[in-house]
Amino acid sequence: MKTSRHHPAIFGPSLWQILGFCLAVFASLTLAASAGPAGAQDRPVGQIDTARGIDLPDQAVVLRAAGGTTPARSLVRLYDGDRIQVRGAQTRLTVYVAGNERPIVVTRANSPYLVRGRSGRPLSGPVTQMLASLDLMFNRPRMAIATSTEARGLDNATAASAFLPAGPQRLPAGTRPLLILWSGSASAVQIVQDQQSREWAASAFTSTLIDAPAAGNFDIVLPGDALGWTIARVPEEAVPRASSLPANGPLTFEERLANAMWLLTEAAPEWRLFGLSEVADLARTDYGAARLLAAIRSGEIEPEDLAAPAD
Amino acid sequence: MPWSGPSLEQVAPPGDVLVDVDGTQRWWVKAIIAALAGLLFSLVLSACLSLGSAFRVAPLVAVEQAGIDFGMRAYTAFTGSPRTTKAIPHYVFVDVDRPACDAFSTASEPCGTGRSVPPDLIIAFAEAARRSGAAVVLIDVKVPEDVEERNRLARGLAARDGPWVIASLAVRPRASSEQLELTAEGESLLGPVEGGRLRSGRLLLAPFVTATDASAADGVIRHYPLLARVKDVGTGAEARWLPSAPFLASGLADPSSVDVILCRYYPVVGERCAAAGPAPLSPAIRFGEQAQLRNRIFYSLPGLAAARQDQQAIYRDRYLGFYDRVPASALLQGTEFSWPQDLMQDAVVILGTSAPEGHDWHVTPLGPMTGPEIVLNAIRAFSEFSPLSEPSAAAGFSDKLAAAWRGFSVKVGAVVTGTLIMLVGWLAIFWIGDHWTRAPRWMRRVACVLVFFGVLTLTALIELFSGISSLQRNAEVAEATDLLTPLLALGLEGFAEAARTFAHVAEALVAWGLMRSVSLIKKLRERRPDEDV
Repeated sequence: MKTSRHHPAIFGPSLWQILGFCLAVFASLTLAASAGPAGAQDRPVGQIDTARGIDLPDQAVVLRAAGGTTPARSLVRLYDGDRIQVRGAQTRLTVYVAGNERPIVVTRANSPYLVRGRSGRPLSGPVTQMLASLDLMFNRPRMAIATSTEARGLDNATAASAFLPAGPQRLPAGTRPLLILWSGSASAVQIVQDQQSREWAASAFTSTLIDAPAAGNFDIVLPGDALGWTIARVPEEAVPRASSLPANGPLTFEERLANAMWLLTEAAPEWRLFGLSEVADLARTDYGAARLLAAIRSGEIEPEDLAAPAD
Repeated sequence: MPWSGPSLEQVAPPGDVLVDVDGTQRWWVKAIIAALAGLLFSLVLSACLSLGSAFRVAPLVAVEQAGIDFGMRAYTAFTGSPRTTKAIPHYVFVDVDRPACDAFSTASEPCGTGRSVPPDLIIAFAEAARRSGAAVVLIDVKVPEDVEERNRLARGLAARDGPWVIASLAVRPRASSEQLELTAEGESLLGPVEGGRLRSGRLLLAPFVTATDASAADGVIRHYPLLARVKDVGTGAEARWLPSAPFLASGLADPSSVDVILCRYYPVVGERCAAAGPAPLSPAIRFGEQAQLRNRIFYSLPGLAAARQDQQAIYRDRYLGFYDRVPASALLQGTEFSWPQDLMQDAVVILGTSAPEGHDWHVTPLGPMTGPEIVLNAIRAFSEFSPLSEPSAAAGFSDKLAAAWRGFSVKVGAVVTGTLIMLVGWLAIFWIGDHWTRAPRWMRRVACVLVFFGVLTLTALIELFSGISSLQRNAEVAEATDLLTPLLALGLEGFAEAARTFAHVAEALVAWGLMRSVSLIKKLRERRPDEDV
């Protein structure tokens, strides 16, 4: 068909050629996209996922296309052209074959089952593969991950951690982050002061850092009153110190860490919350404290592990 | 149909082939000019980005970083396993799940509270792996602190036959500015580190430690060192070079480099090494002794543990027999591991866990991934590809300029390809505009817009695929490839065209509105004398 400047067809040959070129490129792209996944001949095309009801080895076997026989069992690889032969009346094999959306159940009724690979399956064609690839690229899974490796506890039963027994705790004056620790299921944490409460979510973890009120006594509870601590404020000077540390004056980082460990192991139990929170505070800048905190939160160590060895 | 248009002389007078009879440029001239303008724009943008990222201009580094991450995502999404798995090892991640853990846990240490891989499970697995025919087995599990447990585990792993087993050397970081410096903990799986015992039979200890790029500040693991400098191993005060676990595994998976690697880093006097002390550096060791941290991993294996169920099915379809994640419980019969021979024959096998209490989830360019999957990616990168080079912060001016040139030359290929395809689009658009005169004006405009965006999409797809192929080639010659910049340039070109079209339409609307207003005013003025009458 000829075209002219004054009387062109709606789509002249040039436009058809352009569209044809575009289609050819797209087709070659889709083929290129599927070149990797498809067509491999020396790779398995399937696998026996589960094998039940096999008491004797000859009750289910895989007759290899390349020759030979393999007893059927779970995780046996299947290659194109293999046959699965089932003789046992109770034998039931669940087979995965690439390109099939659902697993295939092979019993004596449909035995021998011929394994056919990806070839000849229109559903796993190039266009489907390309769409799947686009989905993989743009629709990545998202999942919550614990970058600071908080630990999960047992599935049930919220209980006090050995590091932080329930009951009265003492805290020096001032605002500071508090490390609340328990074992068992995940929970939110509430601070109750003067009939008002604030809540921190600690989903999936059995510990969390919360901000203490600036002043005054308060209670910390896990909802449902499963676990709770009553916090009493004391003057800064009332915080006990290990005998090996200076009795007065500010402490260095190392001395603070040593005192925190002493509070967790040898001091009265009501100083545990302060000891834990000191470790959490020091962990922001100190590697040793960070490792100690991780071990405490994950439940890898107990208070007695920190105690000084007996002479 | 007879030709009824203007003659050739009318259309193209001699000496002025570029101009039409009405004095305007010919359609194909306009198309070439538009394509060249696009090319110039894309080249300038690519050059700016390449220079900026080589000279560590933070926002441009971030753009290039995103481009390389995007490239690896595209690679893993669009390519599957190789057609053959005979020449290269395949990879198996044995994921210790809760049922497998429960089978070996003790009442004092139930699963789910921190210890997700009991030592007895590791010993039973190592016993079975001895007969598996695997090339290398890595145990990506923290070494137990209890001395008795540790000794039991060491005895279970240190066999004289079977595959090489690589277990974790307990270390903590000292510094990681240019090279990874580690300090060994006091006790290792093979006893006090003062003795410097890092090898027993087929068991080798290596650090499973990497670092994140502090300048990126996103916590994404993009690098894995080939070597780490470990202090406090052995009797000498000098720090000792040790291969990282993935680099050691890639060396041991290649039979031709096993002896060299062992003599260089794990010498046992009197066994295979001729002389006492470490052997000199050999060309048989891949990549030499690159101690710098900036060994970007070429991620080519997706995270299987994090994938959605439908995505897992696609990955399984593509990677079966090449890269498998097998739940440990599927290999268990009671408390004994057993599996078909071909499952792990010649494979690189890693035992680890994706359980949350294993604390081994990390962020990677491909999304969340478990530690064992990162290690397998690094092993494959060191075995089949190369660590992707990039200029370090301390590189000199000439090195940075060379890196900018390399980055630019990679982008130029994609940009030129894109321009050629866009030229086809421009030809179609200007032909429609100038020659499709029978169609109404609005139809021509719609057709032009459709062709423009259609060709733009097609160009983007072609650039993406040529980029993936270039990434694969470049991975072998050690160059990080940014796939995003050409697409970005193309997108910006599209945006510029869309903005120009919008401006034209807006201008036309304003002009039309003004004309209408003027004519309305005129009409009103013309009517007023009548009304007065």
